[in-house]
Amino acid sequence: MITNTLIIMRSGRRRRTEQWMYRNHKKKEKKELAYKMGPTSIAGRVSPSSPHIFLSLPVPPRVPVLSIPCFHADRHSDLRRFFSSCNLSFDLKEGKMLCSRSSSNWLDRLHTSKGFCIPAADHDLDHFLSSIPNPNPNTNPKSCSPPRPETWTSDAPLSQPPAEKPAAPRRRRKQQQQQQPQYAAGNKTFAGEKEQLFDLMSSALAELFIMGDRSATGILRASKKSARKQANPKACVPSASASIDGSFLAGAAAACHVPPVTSPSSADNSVAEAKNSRTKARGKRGTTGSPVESDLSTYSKTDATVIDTSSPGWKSEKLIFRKGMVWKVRDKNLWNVCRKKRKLGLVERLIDEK
Amino acid sequence: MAPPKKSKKTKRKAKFGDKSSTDPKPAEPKALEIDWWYSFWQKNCNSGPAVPTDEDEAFKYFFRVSKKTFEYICSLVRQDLVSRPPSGLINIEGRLLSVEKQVAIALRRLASGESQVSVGAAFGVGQSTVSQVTWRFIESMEERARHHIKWPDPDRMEQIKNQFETTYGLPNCCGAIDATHIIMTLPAVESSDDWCDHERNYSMFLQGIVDHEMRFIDIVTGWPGGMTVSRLLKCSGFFKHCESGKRLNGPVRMSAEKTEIREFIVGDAAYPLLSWLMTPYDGKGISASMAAFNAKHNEVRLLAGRALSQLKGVWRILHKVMWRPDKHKLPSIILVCCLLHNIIIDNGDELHANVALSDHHDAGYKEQSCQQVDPDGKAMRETLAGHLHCYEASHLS
Repeated sequence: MITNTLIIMRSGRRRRTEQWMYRNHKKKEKKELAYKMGPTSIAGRVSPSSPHIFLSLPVPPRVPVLSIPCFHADRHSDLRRFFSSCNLSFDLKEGKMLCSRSSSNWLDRLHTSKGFCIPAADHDLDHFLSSIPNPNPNTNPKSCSPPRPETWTSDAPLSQPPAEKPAAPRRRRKQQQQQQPQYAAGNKTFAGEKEQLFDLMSSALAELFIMGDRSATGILRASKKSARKQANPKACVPSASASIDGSFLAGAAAACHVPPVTSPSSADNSVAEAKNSRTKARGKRGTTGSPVESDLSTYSKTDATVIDTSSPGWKSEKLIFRKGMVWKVRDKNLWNVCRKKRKLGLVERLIDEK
Repeated sequence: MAPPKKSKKTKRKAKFGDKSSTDPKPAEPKALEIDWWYSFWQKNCNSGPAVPTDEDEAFKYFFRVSKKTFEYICSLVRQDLVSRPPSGLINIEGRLLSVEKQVAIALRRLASGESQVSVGAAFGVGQSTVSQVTWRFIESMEERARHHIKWPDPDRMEQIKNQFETTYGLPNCCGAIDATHIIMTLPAVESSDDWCDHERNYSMFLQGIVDHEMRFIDIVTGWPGGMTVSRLLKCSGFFKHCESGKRLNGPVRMSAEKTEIREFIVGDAAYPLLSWLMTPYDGKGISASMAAFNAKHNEVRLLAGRALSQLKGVWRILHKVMWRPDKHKLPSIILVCCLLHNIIIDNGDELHANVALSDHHDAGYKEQSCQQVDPDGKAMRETLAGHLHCYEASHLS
């Protein structure tokens, strides 16, 4: 049975880790590998003596993986279930997280779900990694096809050790067939949940140890962003198809999930639309029901203090709108009174009304 | 004219007002109140060839009012202007300014239209003192003297109508209306364009209705000079009152032809012809009765024009081009000048003959013509013309 163990240790600062990762990845290309796990790529080291993949970071671990800010294994039962489903184990003394892969079932399913082709021999990591297609984040994993199809067989399990007998795959498939119905019978939704959790975990890991695959971090970032207030609401407001009135919010929410890189033009349109809608809204506010006043935006405006001995109090503030020979006069007093009342507190307002 | 900001001043006023009650210092002694005049006269008697040698005439020359009227004005504003240390305004010698001197400074500023520096130099005070004193005086007069402009009560209106009929032959005439531009300079910014009038001046309108003694009985000011006169009228409260029947709604008179003549005022061709506002006949080929109406109409209408000429002549601050005034404060200045104009008339002061403007109050402005003719106004004018024709015919026979 293959027991590839992932030893993940939490490093100090993410940026330093990334830099280190990048440097070492360049220097020791042969020894250090990029192990593609779904959309996440993790750099690691293959131990020549064992089939374990060691993911080690240069900075001595100060915080174990359990204290990753986004997740807390003690508190999140989902995460615990995820770890247990992945056969992840924790060694708190060492500050290490051990992920032992006791069966190929999980990885097979993962590869299938992520669109990777299942390699013939899972122990041949060099072969596996070299056969991984170009890790271009824009590449659609579902359209991935094995670069060297002669070395891959579609029915060969990924985790088959090279030294194992040919009967072993058959036995494993049998085991898989036995396990899967049990698993499905036990909890039908657990498989999907596990996948989701794994995606989430992958994103979290990718977020912590960025290996250059931006698309992997996108999931976490998107989920983070959607839960928080938008940094720049302008870019997120309505798509071109979103109407201003009813589906404004829906359109805005939909637009938030659209990556701006993929649709820059629509984002521009959205901004334009948003601007238009804001202008319209402002216009509506300014008109306050009078169709005549909607034209006042084209008028020049000045305010004047008028003294008229036929008016009560003699003195009044007027707003004068002028366009050529057309004059429109609005009383400024009402607005002032409203503003004054708004400024006043409740007690003062009551006194004022009395 | 650039008076200080009201808010600051009000705060200071309130703050020091409390102190004054605990530590009152006497203003300049009564004996010194006359001194300011003599010292001023001595200093300025040779300021121009037109300065009269007679003391009273010289006083009226400088301040436009007689000493008696001056005392009356001082009594109106005394409680607002009385100096209370340490807020009281002082002269360059550090002495508190008396109310009389403050009133004199303000009146001189309004009457001459000279700069604050010049007026201050004439009185031995600084420019800022002139500014503060003038604005305090204007604010006080706005409140304390407003009874000098009011629409006449029915009794008073009957007297006015009788005087108009006796003097000019127009029955039920209540007054004459006219408007003038108060020209100013404004900064060359876009917002100033609204104040630019047809003659490319920045100006503010003053519309006044005067009685037979050229007393203002209604004024409107503060509107931009770029408006037409007819629009100015329609913006006024007087127009709204008349249209709603709240004004010029006194008893009607019967014409010689037994037709009703309601109360009305007269205005020039710039105003619309309305049932309560008579304008002259225009164009060629007018009949004898129309010409007779126009002649009488013109005599009454000129009263308003003369009143405005006198106003601008006496209170030269309105005639000179004001340097970037605060548009919200200028109406108050105009109003106070109108109040002072009426105070002079009410107190029976006689003005110097040459003090009024020699030419038209709105020199440089073309006469406007309003084509609006109300059918009721047209009928009313026909009635008046017929009445005048009959009246003249009966007098001739």
